Amino acid sequence: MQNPRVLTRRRRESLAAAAFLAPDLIGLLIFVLLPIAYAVYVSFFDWNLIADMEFVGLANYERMLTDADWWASMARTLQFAAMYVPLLFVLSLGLAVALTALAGGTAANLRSAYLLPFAVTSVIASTLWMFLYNEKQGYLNAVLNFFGIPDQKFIGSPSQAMISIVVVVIWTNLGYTSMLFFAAIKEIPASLTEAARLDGAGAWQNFLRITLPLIRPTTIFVVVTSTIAAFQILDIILVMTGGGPADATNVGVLYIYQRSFERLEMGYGSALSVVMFAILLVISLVQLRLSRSSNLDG
Amino acid sequence: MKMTLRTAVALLAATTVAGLAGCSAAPAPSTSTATGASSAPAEPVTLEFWSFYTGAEADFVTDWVEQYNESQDAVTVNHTAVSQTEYTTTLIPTALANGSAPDILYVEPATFTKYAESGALADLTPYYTDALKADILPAVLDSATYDGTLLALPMELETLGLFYDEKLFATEGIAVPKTWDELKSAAAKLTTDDRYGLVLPVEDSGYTLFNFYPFMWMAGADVTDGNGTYTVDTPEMAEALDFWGSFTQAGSSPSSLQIGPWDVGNIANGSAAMQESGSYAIKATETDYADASISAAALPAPTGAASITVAGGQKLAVNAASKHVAEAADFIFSAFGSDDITLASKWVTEAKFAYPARQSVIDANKGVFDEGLRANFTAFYGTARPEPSYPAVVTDALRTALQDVMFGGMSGADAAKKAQAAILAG
Repeated sequence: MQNPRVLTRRRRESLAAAAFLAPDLIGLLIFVLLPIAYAVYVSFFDWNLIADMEFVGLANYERMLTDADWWASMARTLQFAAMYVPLLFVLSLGLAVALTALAGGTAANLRSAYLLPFAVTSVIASTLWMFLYNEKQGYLNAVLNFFGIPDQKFIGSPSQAMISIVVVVIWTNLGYTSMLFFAAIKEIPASLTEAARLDGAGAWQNFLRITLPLIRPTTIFVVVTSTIAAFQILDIILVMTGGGPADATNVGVLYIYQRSFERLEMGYGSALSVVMFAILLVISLVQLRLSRSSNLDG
Repeated sequence: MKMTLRTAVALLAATTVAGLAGCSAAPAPSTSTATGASSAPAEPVTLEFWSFYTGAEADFVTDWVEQYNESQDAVTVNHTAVSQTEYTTTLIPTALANGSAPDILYVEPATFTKYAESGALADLTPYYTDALKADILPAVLDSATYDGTLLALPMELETLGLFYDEKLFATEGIAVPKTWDELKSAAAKLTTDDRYGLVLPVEDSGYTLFNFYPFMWMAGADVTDGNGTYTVDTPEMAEALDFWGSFTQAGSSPSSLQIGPWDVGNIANGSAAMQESGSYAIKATETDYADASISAAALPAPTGAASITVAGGQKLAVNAASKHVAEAADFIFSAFGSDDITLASKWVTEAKFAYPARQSVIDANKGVFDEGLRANFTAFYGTARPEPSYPAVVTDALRTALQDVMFGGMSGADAAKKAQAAILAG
């Protein structure tokens, strides 16, 4: 027999939960889901934002298929993601392991120090790094010159600009991501590592067999969110290179921005946004599926 | 949990589009009440006016609005200061899209054609008197005209010149370059481990193209025959592109800039010997960089050819969707189209330094244009051509051509050919 008092409490809890969630869900609906739906709607129109919208069916999507500049910009996005995601993963995990091994005040101070760039706005971070990258008066070239290496153009070079941007974005996010790994590693029960050590496992085996599998949820979160962030990269590029030199850093989102607001092709820009969204969704779902099946295997 | 994770990821991914799509749907930060107000003559009219100036220029706008509001009771101008970057990129297009755009708009050549083509600008022809039309320099009046209709009111002209470090030139015994060959040679000689010979804009932007136009014209190239045909694949254009790209390729011009390409602080802080910049840099030269020995001259020309500069600048226009076009027109003409040229003079002589679009304002302020560095610019004022206003597909193609010759290792001829193909492809 059910206890009516328990049911009442459950209902009360449900109501409280709904009350707490409602503002967020309403915000999500108004500021995320509706704009997405509107973008999908606009993608079927020719619209310069000012004159009346003209229905064009799938024409914007057909145009996208043969737009070499769009696919080139998406290739650059992939290039950015291919450098950024693995580098951020390896560096932040390595840093977290190193910070875990350190004890006391030093580790706490180092954690704070690495987290500081995350508190810097992207525009400030970009400006700071532009000082460092300055070809003739920048510190980086001064250091390189000290070792006999000639001046580099960094963001002024089509071949170096993208990796230079990647470095800035990693510098900004390394502290935060390593904190996620640090917290996950700290959650691993000491008894497991102790037992492994007693069984003769070395530090490397301990890392591979104990640490890595047990921080898998954090790993998935970091890989998924950093992949999404890589596809969304815009602000730092806008400040540092504006997509140049010679389009070397003109990534997908910047191309969408240019088409939408410089060319006032909002219908086409919306179609590109929808495709970008679909690509991200597929990547995210594939990553989740892979990690889930790998969890089941494990 | 399974669905929650999947949903969470989907929503995270969705924010990619939301940021972009949201731009088209989000209301602009307007406090507008004007566009929804009644047009009945008895009711007071409120005009929305957004400006993006700072310092003395912002003070001018504030004073102008206050004076206008105090001068009559029928119309109140509600002024809001906004960011220039947002104004020239997303703010106005999105505000026009959702009907919250101000009654009065600033337009420049890059936006004039876009807005005119879209029908966003009201016809101002009825508010132009014959005397005013005769007073405005003909080429400038032409630049405010679209399909035979006057859609804007010019308020200023900003020209480009060659700024240089006078002391450095004297120390090095180098004459101020007058020809392209001399400019190349001087830029190469003045380039050191710590300094560039010549700063040119490097970004893929309208400003870089604005700086290229004089060189394009000096090489004998042009883009349009005036009949809607755009031709850029010419030997003259190739020559201009080769010349423009030669400085970056030779390493005598920077490939990235720490401060803005218009800011002659590049010369003041010793990181450049010469810089192409505009009359808008004169004020900073005389105040912020008064200790530096910066002077200015006409842009060098090909041997045997005459120097040409370009004249850009803002124009005022009225939103075609405004319910108070006549009142908005009265407001802008009260300052820049009136017989009383007090405000028009103050704008170009006190608030900032620029050349006026009207002969009467030039005549009334002759002394100002012959003071200090202004005199250098005034000397070649007569060579100015108004900044052209091409369709976006043409300006994009030219901007890409500039990037190609600066950084893509492309010859001027190949870059011009590629630009022509892009224009034809639309």
